[in-house]
Amino acid sequence: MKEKFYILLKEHFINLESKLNQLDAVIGDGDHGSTLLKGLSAIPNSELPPDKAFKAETGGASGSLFSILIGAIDKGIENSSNFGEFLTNASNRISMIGEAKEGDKTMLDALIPAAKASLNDPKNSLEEASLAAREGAKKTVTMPAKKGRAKYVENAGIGHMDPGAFSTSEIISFVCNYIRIENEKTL
Amino acid sequence: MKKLYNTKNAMPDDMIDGFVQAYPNIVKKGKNNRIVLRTKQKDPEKVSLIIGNGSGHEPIAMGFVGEGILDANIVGDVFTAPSSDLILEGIKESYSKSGTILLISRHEGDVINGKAACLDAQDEGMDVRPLLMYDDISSAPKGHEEDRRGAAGTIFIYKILGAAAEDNMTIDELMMLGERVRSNTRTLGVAINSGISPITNEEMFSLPKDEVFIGMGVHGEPGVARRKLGAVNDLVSFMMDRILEDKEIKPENNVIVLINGMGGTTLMELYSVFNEVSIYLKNKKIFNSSPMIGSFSTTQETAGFSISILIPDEIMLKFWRAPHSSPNFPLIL
Repeated sequence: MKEKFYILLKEHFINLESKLNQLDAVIGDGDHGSTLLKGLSAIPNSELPPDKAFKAETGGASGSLFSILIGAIDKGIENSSNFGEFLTNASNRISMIGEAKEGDKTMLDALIPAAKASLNDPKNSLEEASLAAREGAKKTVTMPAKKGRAKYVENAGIGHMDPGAFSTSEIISFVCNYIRIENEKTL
Repeated sequence: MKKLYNTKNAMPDDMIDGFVQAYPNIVKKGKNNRIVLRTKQKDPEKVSLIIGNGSGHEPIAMGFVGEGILDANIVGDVFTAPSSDLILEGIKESYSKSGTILLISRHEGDVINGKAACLDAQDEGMDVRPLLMYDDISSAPKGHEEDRRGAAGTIFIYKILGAAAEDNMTIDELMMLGERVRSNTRTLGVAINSGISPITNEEMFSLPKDEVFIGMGVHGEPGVARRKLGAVNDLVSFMMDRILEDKEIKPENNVIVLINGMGGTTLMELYSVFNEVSIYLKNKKIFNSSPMIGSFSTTQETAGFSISILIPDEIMLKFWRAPHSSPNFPLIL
């Protein structure tokens, strides 16, 4: 089941690659979509756990941060009732490593609301997390960047969605939908 | 612009090969070619002190591996932090049962990958602590010291902690000593001509002929302000005023001065800069001893320098002056 999930997730990001690269070109070096796709493509055939396979392939700082998110969704697929807890642990770890918090225009602006929503409403955990992640990503459009290269560009990226928040919201909603569909199948 | 290499990608590896062949009694390569270790087994009871950094800034930090300073350096691509997996390998190869301190000069990629590697190592049961280093007063205002970048003043931490670890200080004591050195260190840099990026073969910034950038990043990030170059005594006074505004130094105090060239500034110029710093301090009735002058934390052939000031206590001074055997660290007298 997990192997199939990672193949589907990779295919989803094949479709998103150029959009993510374009978003990243405004505030960074324009390779966020390609970097994520590279890491996700390494997962299905690797002997390493998904988060480690992803990190080994991507190498850079964003690889270190996103591999933590991959580790959380990997646990979520196995044990969806604790999804909120996994997302919360991941967001704490990313926040500590990246020295960032909610509102800094980063992937945390999608991840933290998703983790909170999922904890607040365990019954509808997956729907709520998915919705909150997407809304959180949208909110980054009006934020000035506080971290990364984005803070040095004109207006600190105001007017553009943060590519890391967008990709995070896509990963979270994709995994939420996948688990829901799988759960319905087994009912 | 011209640069000497076989291929761009091979530059860090070719450099490491040359370095370890030049000093086989002091340094060797680890299992991974990008990990430089001490040849002589360090005392297994001693805390190990290691750092990862992008290449292109030599001799930092590879050149400071050796007895009395660093136990290992993890070398990334040019101007690129090593991956957290590579840093984790470096931690494992130099791990001590008394613990390991990973020094992190505060730049985003180094912080993220370094902290991630420490967490991974801690998950595996190792006592590995990250020590963030920041000293560049131009990168964040007074009161926001924790947001500052690491610059040449981080060398004080390398040397003092390295000697203290050799003296069998515990990991807790070393972390506290490192934090004390950090809070007593300030650095301000200026650049007058750009170096050439080995990645693009182009200059990293441009500047009018008679101007100087104040507050230069180690990757050619633009400075925070520009001013007319003028005479060196005038420039040094301006820089020292900024440093003393940021960190008060009272008369009769003793300081250590570190003048770091950025790669394209001559020793003739650097000693002149030190002379002006000495005169400035003397006028304020501040003593200085055991200085370090040369090009240590470089950005290719960038012309410029930084002034770092440490207000040492007795312990810091003792370890700063302690003997060492690393290939590119100078004599401290």
